[in-house]
Amino acid sequence: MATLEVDETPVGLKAETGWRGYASGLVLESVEPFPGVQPVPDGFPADRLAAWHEEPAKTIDRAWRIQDNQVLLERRHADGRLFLRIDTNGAIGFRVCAPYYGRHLVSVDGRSIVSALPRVPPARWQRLFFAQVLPLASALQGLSVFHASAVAVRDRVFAFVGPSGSGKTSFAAHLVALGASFVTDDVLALEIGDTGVLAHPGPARLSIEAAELRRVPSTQHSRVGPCVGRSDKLMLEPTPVPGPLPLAGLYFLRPDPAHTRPAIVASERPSSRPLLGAGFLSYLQSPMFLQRHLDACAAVADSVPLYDVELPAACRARDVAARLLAHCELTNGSRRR
Amino acid sequence: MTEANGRLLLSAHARVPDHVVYRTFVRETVVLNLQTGRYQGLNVTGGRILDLLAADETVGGAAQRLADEYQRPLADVERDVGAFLTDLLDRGLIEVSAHGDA
Repeated sequence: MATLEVDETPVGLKAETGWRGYASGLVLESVEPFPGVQPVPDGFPADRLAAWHEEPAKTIDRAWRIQDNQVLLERRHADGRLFLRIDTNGAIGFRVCAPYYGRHLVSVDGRSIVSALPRVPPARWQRLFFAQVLPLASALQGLSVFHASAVAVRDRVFAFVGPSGSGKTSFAAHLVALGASFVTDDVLALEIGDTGVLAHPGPARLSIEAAELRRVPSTQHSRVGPCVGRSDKLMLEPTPVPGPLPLAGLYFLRPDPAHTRPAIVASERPSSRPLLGAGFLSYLQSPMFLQRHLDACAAVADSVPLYDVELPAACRARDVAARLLAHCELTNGSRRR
Repeated sequence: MTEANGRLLLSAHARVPDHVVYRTFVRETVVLNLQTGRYQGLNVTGGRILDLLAADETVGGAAQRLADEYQRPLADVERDVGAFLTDLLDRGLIEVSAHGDA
């Protein structure tokens, strides 16, 4: 006679943890070191803790009550195959699922992440984890997450916001190669406090086109880190700054074929639209998340200088990065005077 | 807006409802409807009007303050403020109550 096996233990309560790492404002607990996550600094507060462990896919599927879920985001390939789905179930939390990239359950409070990892090169499932799962847990624990790259210059963080393909990653890579410290490639977790805006480093991952990496002189390759995987891009492992640092400036990358030369100018345009549009998890639409994002944008606009980087159609990322680095240094200098 | 409605509005209080929040940016104010997730950008003057109304000014009182600050004829300012608030009212971003009822 067939029997129905029911696992009564809620998913998310089984984690045996021993190692702690830090990325995107969270202390990530796991049994073993998590690839791409740096060890948590000594004395770092663990008030935003996320316990991670792995489970078989059937366990995650069993825990997810299909009938109750609400699809928040669904993207499909051109041929109709599912690329990414994020859905929520009020009682359990969020499920992030992408075929061949893994499926993950994130608890409502962001303090538990359970993953079913596919048998693929680690670089593949790590992309989904760092691009969607970790930022979601950060947001659920109170941080504001932006679609931005960022570097640190003299322990102050400078962020780069712009549309896809505007050069966020390329500029970050060249800035790091030129001497800046790596903060994040694609997702920036910000913490709004009474004394200003703190930027948390992301995972030690930077995905860059092979052609762009070739423009980094070989003598500077060690600064952007070793290549730890490849898909359509190379996945590098730069060393992020060890802890949160104050945000000191934000650059809007504005590709514009009308420009003949790149220019960096104080932003005279209303800042709300590009800032609001840079929110990373736009599917989080509850009043709490909406208001938090507006508050974060207002705090950023109020506390740091904003600049437009006008980018002509053909400009070399490395040349612009060199100018950006000089500009960051200048901005730091003017704050100290 | 008819002249009678305009006079009524000037004596009324207007407030941002609980499901609407606004924040001031450098050169603008952003109003957010938390029920719809829609943003509305206002210029500096629009933001100033919301601040005056939040300080319990009547619409007419806010118009008087603006006319003083910008040194503009009161009738012009009353007309502009009325049109502005009617637009916000249509978008569900403010509530209007009769004088003394707020």
